[in-house]
Amino acid sequence: MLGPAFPATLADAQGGDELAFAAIFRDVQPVLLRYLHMIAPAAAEDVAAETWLQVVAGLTGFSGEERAFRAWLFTIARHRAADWGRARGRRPTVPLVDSGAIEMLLAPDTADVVIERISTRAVLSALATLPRDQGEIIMLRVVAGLDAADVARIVGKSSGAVRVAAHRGLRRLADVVDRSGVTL
Amino acid sequence: MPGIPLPSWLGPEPDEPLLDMVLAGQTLPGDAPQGIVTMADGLANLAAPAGPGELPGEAAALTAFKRSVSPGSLSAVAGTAGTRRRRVAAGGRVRLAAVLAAVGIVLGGTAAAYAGALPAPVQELAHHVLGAPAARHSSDGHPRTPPSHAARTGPQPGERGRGSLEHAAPHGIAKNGAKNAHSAHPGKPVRQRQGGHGRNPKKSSRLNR
Repeated sequence: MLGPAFPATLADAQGGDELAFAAIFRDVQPVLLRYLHMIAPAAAEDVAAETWLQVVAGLTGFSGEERAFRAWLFTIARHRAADWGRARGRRPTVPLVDSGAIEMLLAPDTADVVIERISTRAVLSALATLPRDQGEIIMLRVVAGLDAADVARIVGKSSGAVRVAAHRGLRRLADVVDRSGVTL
Repeated sequence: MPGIPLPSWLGPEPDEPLLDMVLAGQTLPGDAPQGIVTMADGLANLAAPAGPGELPGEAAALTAFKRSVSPGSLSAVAGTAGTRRRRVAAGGRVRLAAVLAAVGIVLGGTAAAYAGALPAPVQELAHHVLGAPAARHSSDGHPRTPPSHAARTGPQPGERGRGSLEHAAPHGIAKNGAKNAHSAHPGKPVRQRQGGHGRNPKKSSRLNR
């Protein structure tokens, strides 16, 4: 995150400064893509591009601090991802815990594969084993840097439900790491 | 009640403070379980700055940004307050120009009517409406083109310089002007000129009455 530099950078970008806008883009785009790889894996870059178009169109009208900016941007991204999913007749998600996929992930060969990928892709793979709402909430809380109230507004749940889902997801993730011996 | 232990599912889980620290991106204590530490490190990697190849779409986003801030791209930022302000200002300028043009036409038309310089039907209308002088009529009863107009149309295309001089000097040079008018315009204005024999057109029109 840009931190204390954000207000001035945002003001410059709203005034038409390309470098300021590029600084904001470079700060947010990586985490935006990682988030979109989880909720719209086949169209993460396309959805990100549509998100930025909408951000650019509304940039001059935005006012707020950095976390509010990220909350606004990730809300747009989630809506665009939902549009993409509707447009392509997204298949219903099945919680992996019910499908036995976690056991498949913990099979020696799969664990070996995960161990070999000591990278962000390994973390994303581990997160992908979680139920979708838990993985998304963890991404928004930890990766996007939003607080529970922001995430609650984005996903349409109460702050308490967000906290519970995040804890459950983290426990499950830690359990996967522990049992598989994965070194992330 | 004191002394009676609550079932674990009613109270907070023992790892909740640690999990909240993970969610907040805080550093975990040294005695944290290894699984949670490893997981926290991995999640921190996800929030790290961009690695190689993690900035696709930058060119497209910058292009969209440039279009949105360029002065001529109203469509790119349609609906913003700035656009609305620009549109209101542009609409105001158009309305002001229209009002000024209308005022100019009214004032100019009125002045032309009192100078008797309008085409005869219009001059007649101005006579009735504004009280401007009536249109002059030739001996055959047809409305007559104003003298100044006749003088302007007199010269041959190749003699424009002299024609302008004729118009400026009522005597002498006007003789050539009448001749030129006769050859170029055999209609009614020329017949009046013939009656006047090169005199001041205004004067000749009075003679024709």
